[in-house]
Amino acid sequence: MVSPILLIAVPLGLAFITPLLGLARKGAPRYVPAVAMLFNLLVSVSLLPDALRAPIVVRTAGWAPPFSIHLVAGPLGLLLSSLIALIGLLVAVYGMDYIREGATTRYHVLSILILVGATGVVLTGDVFNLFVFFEILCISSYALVAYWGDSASVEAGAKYLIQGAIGSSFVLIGIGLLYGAFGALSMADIAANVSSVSSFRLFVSLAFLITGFGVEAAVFPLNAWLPDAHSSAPSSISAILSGIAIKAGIYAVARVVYTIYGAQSILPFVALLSVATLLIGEMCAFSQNDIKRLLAYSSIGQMGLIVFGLAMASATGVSAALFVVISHALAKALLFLASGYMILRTGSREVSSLNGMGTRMPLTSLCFTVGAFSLVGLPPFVGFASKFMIVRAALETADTFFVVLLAIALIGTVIEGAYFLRIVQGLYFKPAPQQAREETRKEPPLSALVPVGVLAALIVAVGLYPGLVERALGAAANDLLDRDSYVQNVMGD
Amino acid sequence: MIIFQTFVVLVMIVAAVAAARFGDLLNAVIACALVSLMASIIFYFLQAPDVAMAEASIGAGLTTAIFIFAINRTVRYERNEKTD
Amino acid sequence: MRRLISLSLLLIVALGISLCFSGAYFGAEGANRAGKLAQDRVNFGQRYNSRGLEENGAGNIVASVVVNYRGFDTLGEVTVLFIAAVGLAVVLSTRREKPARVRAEPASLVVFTGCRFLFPLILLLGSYIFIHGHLTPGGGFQGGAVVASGFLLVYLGCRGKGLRSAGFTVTESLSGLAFVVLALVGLAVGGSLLLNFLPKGSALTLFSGGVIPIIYVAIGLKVGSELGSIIANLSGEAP
Repeated sequence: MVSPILLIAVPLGLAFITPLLGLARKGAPRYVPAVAMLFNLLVSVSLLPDALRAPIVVRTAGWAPPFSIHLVAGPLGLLLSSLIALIGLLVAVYGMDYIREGATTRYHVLSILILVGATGVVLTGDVFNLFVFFEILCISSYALVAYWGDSASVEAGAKYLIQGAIGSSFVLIGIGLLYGAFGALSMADIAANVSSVSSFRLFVSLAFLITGFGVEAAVFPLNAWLPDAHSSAPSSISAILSGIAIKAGIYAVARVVYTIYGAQSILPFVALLSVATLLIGEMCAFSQNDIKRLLAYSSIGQMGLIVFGLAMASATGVSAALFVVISHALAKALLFLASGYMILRTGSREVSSLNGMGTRMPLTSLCFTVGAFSLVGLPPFVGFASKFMIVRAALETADTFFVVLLAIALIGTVIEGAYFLRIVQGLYFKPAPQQAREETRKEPPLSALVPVGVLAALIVAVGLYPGLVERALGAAANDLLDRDSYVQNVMGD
Repeated sequence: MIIFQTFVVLVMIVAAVAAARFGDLLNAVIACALVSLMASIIFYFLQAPDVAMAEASIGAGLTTAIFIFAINRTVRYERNEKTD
Repeated sequence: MRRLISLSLLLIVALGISLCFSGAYFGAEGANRAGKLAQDRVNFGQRYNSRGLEENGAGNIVASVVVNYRGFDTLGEVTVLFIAAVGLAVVLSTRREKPARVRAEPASLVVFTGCRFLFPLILLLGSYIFIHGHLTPGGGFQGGAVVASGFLLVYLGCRGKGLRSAGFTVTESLSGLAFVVLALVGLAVGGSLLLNFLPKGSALTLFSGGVIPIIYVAIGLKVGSELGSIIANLSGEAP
């Protein structure tokens, strides 16, 4: 059986030799991310059935868990790592032709590393290791946001860097406090002993950790960096940032809150924040004229929905949240990738410049529409299934608090519907601007059409048969909620 | 011993505050280097010679050089915020 | 408007904190396990100190913690540094329009000769630190930083020499690859990444500690070349 640790070690090795390949052959580096992610996809999907039976605990350096770092490839970890590898593979294929200018070799190196970071975050079972991979994820995204090098993207990168670095220091302080209190870094070890420490000390470290990871997760008061960063990055990177990076942040928050602390009492607060995040994200998106900023704000809104699901702390709620993670990753990656070439062709990020694209770039527009409808939550697509599950979960809790919040969240969805339908209406029913360039009639190259098409197909397929992922979702939710068996699996008995 | 350590920590605090207050970034960088140097002394007394070496060579040495390169490429003085 | 927003933010946070404390208890379900596990909790430091030498053969316990027990973190940290170097190169390479204000004023003969004389010595010191990392304080990161300070000296003193960034790239890639491959050999031999699969040797001699010194040399070279390439990039002489 292959070891899940290869999911991290192999892409890392490939990333290290990519600069060398770039020196040897100019065109070689652009294929490396695709190779690495294909490997990851195959390995994670092949490990998933095993992990559904029992989480695979991988030790490093040959020592049993508390004494060295270990990975816990449970259903949740492998589900997310498969998602990361899938999106990563499609974005890597897209990036082959899309990235032509600038330091292309370094772009490809960083685009592998950002995915390695995310994979490490979801697989690790050690708090400090979580921080290390989180840094890998964050630092490579700072650099990639500034990739185009114009003043807007450098400014966005610097903003992201500063806020992210403060967040990371908070995480480090939180981990330091945890280590001081428990003398251990293994999540399972800490989780097993958590009630032996006074709740005030726990609360301080928890607050630091949540705030720190919350920056990357873009939860409401901490998300000022996101619209700039996601809109200034190259579209392929925006797809990774929106589809994967913020999910890794939310995963870290969830892991800390559920597994390490078992802190159910802060969840109502988190639920309030999530609904605030959702409303603010959607309202800001509604008033945007810049297509990429609009998509970025809409990501904030969807993050609110995910956190809302997680905050319910019921099996249905958490699996609904994970379902939204999947549906949002697919749809938002699709939207960013599709809009990438539209922006490239029209040369403008104005929403109005997309008018009439439905006849000029029919395939891209069709896929864009699929993604937009899925995000809004229209029936045949995966967005509907996931949002419906959130609704069901909130009603199942039979808690007035959650039902009221759900009602507010649904208002957010209505706003979301309004602005996405406006864009789609522009795509098909408005004439193209007079001075539209001739090259806007050209479809993007195959390397972009295939990923976009695959994403659209997946959105429809999973939307029609939610059973494809439902079993894994249930197991993953259980992985997150059931602390006792998590501890048992890691520490053994 | 404790007096010496208190002194070192006090120097660290003063240097850290100074680094934040200086308008001339070059001075601020030197103050940062001082913080690192003092931290490395503290690490040494806490019986962590490995960390002390890393802190001295990276914190006090290379980081300072990198900051100075960055200042060389940008501006040396903080702009007054009111003129923005 | 601004004040209103910040006030409401404060209110939300205060509400949150009070909510947290009203029902403040953590890990309710874990309570029954805690009693059992609390007794056999181990002090990691003591355990590493007492068994580290026998398990890894490295005289400097910190080295076995850094490379073996928490070697996976070290792999990650080396990667973080790698990303910093690459990311810096990305940002700098796209902003070429404003050339660095470097006045190419040649250094005086004394400085030039002094730098050329000191550079090999600094390299020697750096390599000493990372080659002996498993015996004495110091290791890959520290030695690499010292090596990089040698490159810094070359830049400051012998500006004419120029720093070749292709050399940095090759060293960086190969040493990174060596680290990953050594880790993977451990996986292939003993089923666990970063396993110390080589014979441990007799303690406190140069050839002891299994893979630890080899990995430390790889880390030292990698850190040195990464920091060196950062310096080369910032000094504006890299292509």
